[in-house]
Amino acid sequence: METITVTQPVPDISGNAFLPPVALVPFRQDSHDSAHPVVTEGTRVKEGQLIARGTAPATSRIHAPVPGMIRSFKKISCPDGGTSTAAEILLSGSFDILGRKEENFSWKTSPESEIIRILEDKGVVSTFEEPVPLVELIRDAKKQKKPVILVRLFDLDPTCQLDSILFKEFPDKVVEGAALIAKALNIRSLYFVTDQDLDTGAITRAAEPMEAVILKTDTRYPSGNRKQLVKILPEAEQNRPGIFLDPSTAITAYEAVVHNKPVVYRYVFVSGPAVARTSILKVRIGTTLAALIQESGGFTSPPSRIITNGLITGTAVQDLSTPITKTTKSVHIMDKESCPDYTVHDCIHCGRCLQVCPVYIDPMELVEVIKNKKIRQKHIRSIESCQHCGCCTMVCPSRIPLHHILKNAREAGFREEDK
Amino acid sequence: MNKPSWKTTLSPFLVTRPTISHMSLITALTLTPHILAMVLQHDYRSLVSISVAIAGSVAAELSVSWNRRNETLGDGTAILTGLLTGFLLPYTLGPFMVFFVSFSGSLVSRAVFGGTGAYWMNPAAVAVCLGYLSQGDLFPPYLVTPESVSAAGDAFGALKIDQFPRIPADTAITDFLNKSLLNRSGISLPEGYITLFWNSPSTIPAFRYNILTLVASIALLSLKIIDWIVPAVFLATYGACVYLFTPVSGAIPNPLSGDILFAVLTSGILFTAFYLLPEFSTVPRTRVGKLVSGLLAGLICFMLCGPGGSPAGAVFTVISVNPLATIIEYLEKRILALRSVHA
Repeated sequence: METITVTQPVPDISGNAFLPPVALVPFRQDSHDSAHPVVTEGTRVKEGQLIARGTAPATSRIHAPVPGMIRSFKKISCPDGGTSTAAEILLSGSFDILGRKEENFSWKTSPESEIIRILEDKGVVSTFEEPVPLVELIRDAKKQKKPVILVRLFDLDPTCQLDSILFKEFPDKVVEGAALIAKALNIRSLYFVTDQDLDTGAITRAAEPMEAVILKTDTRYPSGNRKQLVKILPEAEQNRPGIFLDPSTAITAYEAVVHNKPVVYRYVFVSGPAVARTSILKVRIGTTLAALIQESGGFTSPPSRIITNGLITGTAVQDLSTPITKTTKSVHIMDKESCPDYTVHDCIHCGRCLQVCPVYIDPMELVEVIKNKKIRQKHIRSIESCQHCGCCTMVCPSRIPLHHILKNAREAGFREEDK
Repeated sequence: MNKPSWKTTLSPFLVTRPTISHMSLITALTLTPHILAMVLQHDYRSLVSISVAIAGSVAAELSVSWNRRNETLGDGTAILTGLLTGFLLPYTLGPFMVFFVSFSGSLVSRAVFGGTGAYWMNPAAVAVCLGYLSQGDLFPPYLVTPESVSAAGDAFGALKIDQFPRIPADTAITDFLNKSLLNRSGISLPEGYITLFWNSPSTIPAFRYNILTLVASIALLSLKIIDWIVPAVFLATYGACVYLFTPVSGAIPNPLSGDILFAVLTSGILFTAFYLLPEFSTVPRTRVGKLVSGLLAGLICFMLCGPGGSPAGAVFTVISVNPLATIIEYLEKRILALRSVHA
């Protein structure tokens, strides 16, 4: 077993971040194509007003996070490493959601279709793994027989911490959010997976009228990824199609359906050795990283890298004007000392990749056969069973990006004669 | 071969291990106390020998990397190989011979079997074996002979009869340890072991500073530069064999009487255990494979070095056990394929 010690304080939720004077709202906030703007430059928008929607039903809807005027549409970099056109909204005018009394929609007596319509209207995105609109997952699952809902109550990437903290702070919202998604799927029971001892009674009560089943897993990464989670389900459930949720998605669904709020803010965990204060802020979508870091006390030393969504599974961001989107969970600012050396050397045959692989494949052998174009059927099987957890890359002293090479090979596809 | 085109800064942004360059640097730094000890003792012949061995290994690496159009000197492994070769060769070999065997050993290992991570035999061990096979008479003689062991009753007794030069403080330190620590447990350390620990008399630098090698091994293990399994199993197996099966009084085995300390502190066993045997290229990759490799190394070492005091038995052990790793690895792959199917 390899152990990594990351020292970062676990803060309580610090409250609302300052409202951004200029919000940069990307039209692509999931893994699908960009949504199309339904407003034009110079338009005045209200808080929560729809500003972009997809031509395909799969694309999530985008709402104005702040009231104001759309100054321009511009190309910006996104926290997932890509780019997107964004609406630049200058803050002005009164708020229609902030400070108003919250609505309380009774989803338990509503039809499934109504819940799905609200989730679609409010632009809820699932952030369990690849970000996709939640309704897309629900509609796909409804086509299958007896789908399973599983809620992971902790973070896949332990350096992210946001989901664990959100569940600790808002357990009822998380459970109720998951329960209303189960209602939308017409499912009577749902699984909650935790890595620590919990008050099961409280979860069961909050999930009513659904039945909550609590499962426990170990705390070792990558115990929270989809394939590992499926293994702890009862055997009869393991082959059934499933919707996997995280606390962030469940809370967003709760806010959308119960309080009738479109997705205009996110909880974001800000940490790292180069930032003054570790904090969790409720941040308006479109707030730039620069503003977020400033609110966390600014840089304490020159930043070496800015990573979103965890040090193990996240992405490096190059631009401080990158905005927070519906899929941003954490921002980690690394200094020079904490940033690893990435110079790639030849493999030294240490076997550490082999020892840490949770599915017992031989990453280095696979990389060699990919490199030498000698892929056979057995290699394809192994490449397809890779979970892309990155454990092999984390332990590699040669810094060979093993899991990325396997992922690229898989995405590039295999020749027919290899199969 | 061109440089790998995999340079990337993608996730993960956390790593558990130092890079190869850092591993080579740290390993080399753990030998700094040995070098300082040589400087303090004005052992300049050994220092020259080590420097020449480094030059030989670097020259071999340059030739290989030039031939393959692949610059590999930057990872520091060639310098480390030269350093280890220099430590394992007697200074009596002379600079030309040292350069030749260091160059040849590295060239044979790296050019014939492949570069870092691909060679079947430890280049430093190959170089020393070449040196021994070509100029064995310039290596130190066996510390003890079967006749002297037979006469004295045990290997350490035979060494004492041969009047090996002890360090001046040996008696004082032995007395202090016995009175303050060991006598309370009913143990008494004979004089001479302190010399074996601190500065065992030998023309081969790796055989000398066993205490420094032990301290260095703690650094290597705690910084995860080497895996503990191979050296630990090797030392345990070899020690057990020595204790159980050392033949004394002629060819008659006298079980449970072998001198483990003497065996481990002579022949460069400690140095081999922590600097040569765990070399990743030449050991299997799974924990079970490493365990089997360490076990085989211990058994082979007992066959080659016997009760201790051998000038080159340890390095011959290394090149004997290294090729077996390929067979173990073949079996590993079969087992791994089965586990992968069931995962």
